[in-house]
Amino acid sequence: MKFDAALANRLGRRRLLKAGGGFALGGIASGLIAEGRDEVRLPLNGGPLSRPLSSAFPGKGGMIVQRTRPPLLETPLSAFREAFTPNDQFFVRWHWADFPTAIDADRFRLRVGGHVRRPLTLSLSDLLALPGIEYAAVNQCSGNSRGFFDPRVPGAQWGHGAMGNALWRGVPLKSVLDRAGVRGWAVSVRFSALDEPGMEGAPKFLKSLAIDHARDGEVMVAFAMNGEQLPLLNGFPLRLIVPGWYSTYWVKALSGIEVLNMPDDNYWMAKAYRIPVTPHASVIPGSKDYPTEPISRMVPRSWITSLPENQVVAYEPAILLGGIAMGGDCGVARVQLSADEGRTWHDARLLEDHGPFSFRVFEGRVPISRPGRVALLSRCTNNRGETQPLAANWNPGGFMRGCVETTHIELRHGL
Amino acid sequence: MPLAATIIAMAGLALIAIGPPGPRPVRPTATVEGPGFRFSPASVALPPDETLFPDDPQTAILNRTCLACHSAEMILTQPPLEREQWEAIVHKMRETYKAPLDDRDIPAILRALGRISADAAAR
Repeated sequence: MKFDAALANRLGRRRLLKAGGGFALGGIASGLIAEGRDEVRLPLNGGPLSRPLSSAFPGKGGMIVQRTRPPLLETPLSAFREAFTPNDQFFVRWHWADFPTAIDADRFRLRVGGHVRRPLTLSLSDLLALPGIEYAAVNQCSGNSRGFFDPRVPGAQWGHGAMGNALWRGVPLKSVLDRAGVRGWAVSVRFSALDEPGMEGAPKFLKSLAIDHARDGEVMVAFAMNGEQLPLLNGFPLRLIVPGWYSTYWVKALSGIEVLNMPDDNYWMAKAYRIPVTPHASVIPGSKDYPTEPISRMVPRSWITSLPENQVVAYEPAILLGGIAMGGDCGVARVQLSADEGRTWHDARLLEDHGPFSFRVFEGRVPISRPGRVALLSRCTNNRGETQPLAANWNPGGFMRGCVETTHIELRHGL
Repeated sequence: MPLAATIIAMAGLALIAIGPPGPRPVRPTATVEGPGFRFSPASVALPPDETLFPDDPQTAILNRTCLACHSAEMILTQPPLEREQWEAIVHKMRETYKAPLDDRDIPAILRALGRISADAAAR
């Protein structure tokens, strides 16, 4: 069963309110689009809350504009009612404004060098000739949900939509590295791309993986996303896929692979995207001089997406809810729902399994004793047995949020 | 390639070379095919970046110091930040990201950012 947005649109809003529970409720596209305003209000932990809702970026429709240049485009929560996120609503995040806006596929080359026996210059045809792999994986920004941090922290003020799930197709990074012949003393592999710093002397965006991780056979050089070539804004023609790890490693417009004989000390590894070495990467606000490490694997998360924040619905003693969950770097074992601040939890049913790195759609009923405003919670446990905590983490980068999220709705009699 | 076409192509390349930053006038046409997949040319025309900081004596300075690298939205969407937080950000923009900020402008930039935060807190 899927959220039936098309059906919901046909039914219209009033009818949906009368219809009560059920996924048809999910079809109300946040109410804001329907009002014809080109603006959304994100339910962040304080303002500014207003953002433009725009289809001005080619190939992208109805995106929340966090920043026009370089683009930071967020996916509305209403897009997360199915396991896969459409390419035209997949979030966008560039560090530098100077990235190519036109790319000739036949002139593009991927260069592989550094500590290898045979440096390579690969065309896209060369890559297509290698054995391919395909899997679903969630791509989530390290700072997804930063706007919910308390106290607030500077940075892109994302809601929950700096993430998406796609079916990626490409070749294993291992195949490319094996073809180049990695030297025995290799330590890490660094990835570069077609984007360039806006100012001379500023650090080019580079990310690295340890050599064993790079050669695990899962990390992918992807050329297709949900069956199509990558949108330019999502990294055409090639993007690194690091399943289970945050998006900062998923280098877009990948054009260079360099095998290093030492750990990478470039700015984007040594200074940026670092988290406290503490449980949940959490520290007390104001803390100083704690050890840090590069952010890496993702943590379990879940969101109720069948109802937008502050939706008014007809009262029922057990309301049907739907949403999506992710295990982090392994599959989803369990999703539970609560309407009493976590005192009692009710198992949701997990729908189709698209693999350990994918979103998993869930649906389930949660009892609600009386009409009025209620906070709905969802809690994911992954296949490692890690469960989302109720308490939010905090760090100055606004990274790695993973706590139980809340959706408020109001139940009324007589709608 | 005929001589005329070569000259046109070279002129095109020269234009590209002196073009950035900004939209590059490349119009890719070729496709690449392999087993079960075909790459088509990819290009996008990005929308104009039109948001400005309020044009008053206090915040106008941000329009000439910040917009070379990023939209005004990056600042206008921030939560209310303390002066020390803005100082750290301005320091990072200058020292790490090489924003060409003049020493003499820093106090005025910080006052302007403080004003943006005060406005954000009032909303």
